[in-house]
Amino acid sequence: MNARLIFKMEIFKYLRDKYYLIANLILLGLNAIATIALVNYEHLSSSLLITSITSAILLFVSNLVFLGIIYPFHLLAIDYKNRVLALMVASGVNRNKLFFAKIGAVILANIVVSFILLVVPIATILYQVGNLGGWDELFRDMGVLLVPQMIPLSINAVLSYVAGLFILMTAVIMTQGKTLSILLYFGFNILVGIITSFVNTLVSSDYAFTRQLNGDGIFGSVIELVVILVFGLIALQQLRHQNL
Amino acid sequence: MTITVKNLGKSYGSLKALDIDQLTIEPGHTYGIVGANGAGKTTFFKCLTNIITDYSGEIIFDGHDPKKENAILTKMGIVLDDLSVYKDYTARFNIQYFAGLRGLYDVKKVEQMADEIGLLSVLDRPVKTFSYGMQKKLVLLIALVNSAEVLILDEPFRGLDQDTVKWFQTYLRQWTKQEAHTLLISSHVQSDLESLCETVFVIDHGRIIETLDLTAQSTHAYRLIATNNDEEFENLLASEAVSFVKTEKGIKIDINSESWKKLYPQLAEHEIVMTSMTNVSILDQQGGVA
Repeated sequence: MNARLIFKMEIFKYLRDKYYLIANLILLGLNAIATIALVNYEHLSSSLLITSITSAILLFVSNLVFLGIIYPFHLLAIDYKNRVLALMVASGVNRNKLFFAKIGAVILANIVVSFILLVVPIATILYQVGNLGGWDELFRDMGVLLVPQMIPLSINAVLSYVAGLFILMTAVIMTQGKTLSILLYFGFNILVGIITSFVNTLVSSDYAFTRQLNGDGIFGSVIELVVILVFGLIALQQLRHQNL
Repeated sequence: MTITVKNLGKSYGSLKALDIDQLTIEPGHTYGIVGANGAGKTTFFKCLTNIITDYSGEIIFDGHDPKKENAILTKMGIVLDDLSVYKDYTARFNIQYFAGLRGLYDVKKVEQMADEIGLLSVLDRPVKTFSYGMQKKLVLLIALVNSAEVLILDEPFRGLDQDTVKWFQTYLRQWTKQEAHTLLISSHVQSDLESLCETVFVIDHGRIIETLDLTAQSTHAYRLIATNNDEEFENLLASEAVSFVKTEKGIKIDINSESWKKLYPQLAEHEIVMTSMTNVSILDQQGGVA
C-alpha cells in the first residue's frame, strides 16, 4: 500500500463528500451573483450598489472562514469524527504515508476549491476594473506593489496558507478530531505570531540584513517553512504513536 | 503467516490490561480466545493490528514488526466491535474505499457477498441509515472481500441475524480449510468457538492462563452424571481406573468415547440408573466463557 494509493483514495473520498460539495456549490453560486453584480456596478442604483458591496464583503469573509477553517478542518477531521482510522491502520495503512498523503490531498483540495470560489471571481472583478484604466494604473492607484514584486509575496501567501493547514492538522491530530481543535489552532497561531514577532525584533537590529530579507519576502517565507517543518514533525510524531 | 508474541504488556494507568509472556499463532490454524469482559481480548487484538502502539514487548509477523513495517497488515482482515466506517457515505463507497487502499476492488465479488448477507439492496444507502447489525455486516464484508490470509474477529456474530450468522460460520469453515489461512476469533458463544477453533486461549486479567486443544476434546469428552447410587458408581469407576470428581451436580468423569462404550453396559450390571448426564465442554471446565 503506497502513498499514491492513499492519496488517490483521499481524493476519491473528497469527490463524493456530498454535503460539502453542495456547500461549495452554494458558495460558488453566491460568488457568481456577487461578481456579476459588482462587474456591472454602473447599471446599479446607489442603494443597490451599497447593498451589493456590503453583501460581497460579507460573502468574502464567509468564503475566507469556509476555506480557511471550516473546509480544511472537515477534511482533516473526517477520519477521526467517523472513527475510521483504526480500520485504516489495521488494514495496513502506514501512518507516515497516511500523514503525507492526507496533507497533500487536503492542500490540493483546498487550492482547487479556493481557486474556483475566490480566484475566479476576484480575477474577473480585477480584470473588469483593470480594463477601465489599465493594470499598471490600477496597481499604482491602489498603492500596491507592481506585478513582478508580487511573486515573492504570492509565494509567501501560499506558504502561509500551507503552514496554516499544518498547524490545523497538528491541532486535529492532537485532539483526535474534536471541534476543540479549532481553539487549539487559534492558540498555536497566536504562539507562532508571538515567536515570529520576537524573532523579527531580534533580526531587525541588523537593518541591512532585515531590509534584504524583507525586501525579497524571504524572511516571511523562511518563517513559514520553519512553521511547516516544526508542526509537521509534531503532527507526524503524534500520529505515529497514537492509540486509535 | 506466523505471528509470534513475546513479553507483550499494555497498561491503562495502573491497570495491567495485557501481560503475555509467549504466544505463537501458526499459519493454517484456527484459534479462539475466551475470557470475561475486560479480560484483555480486544486490547490484544488491537495490539496485533497496530491500533494500539504503546505496548511493551514484541509482536512479529513472519519476521516483520507491524509497528515499523505495517504493510504486513494488508494480509489481515479485522472485525472489532468498535470499528467504524464513514457514516455519511454509502456502504458501497466504504467497501470501495477500504478495498481501494489495498489496490483491490472486485465489484462482482463484493456484490455476490453482499447479496448473500442481505446487503446488496442497501449498498447505495448512506451508512448512517443502517442499524447496528447492518453496520456490523458492512465491516464484516470489508474484512472478507480483501482476500486476507489472517482473519482477526472480535465478537463477530454479535448483533447479526441468525441467517447471517449461519452464512458466516459456513463461510469461515470453508475459508479455514484453505491452506495457510489463519483465524483468530473471540466470542462469548461457546458453540461458535467449539465449531470453528482447534485451539482456544483462555485469557484472564490480560494473561493467557490456559491453552486448550479442542481437537483432543472431540475424542475426550467430560461428562457430568447423576445416578440413583453414586457410591456404587464411584466404585465402578475406581475399578475401571476412570478418573472422576464428585461435584454438587453429580460425578464428573473424564473419559473418551471408546472407554465410555465399554463402561456404559456395566452400569446395568451394577443396577446403576443414570438420572441425568450432561456433556461438559472443555471451555466450561475452564469457566472461560463469560
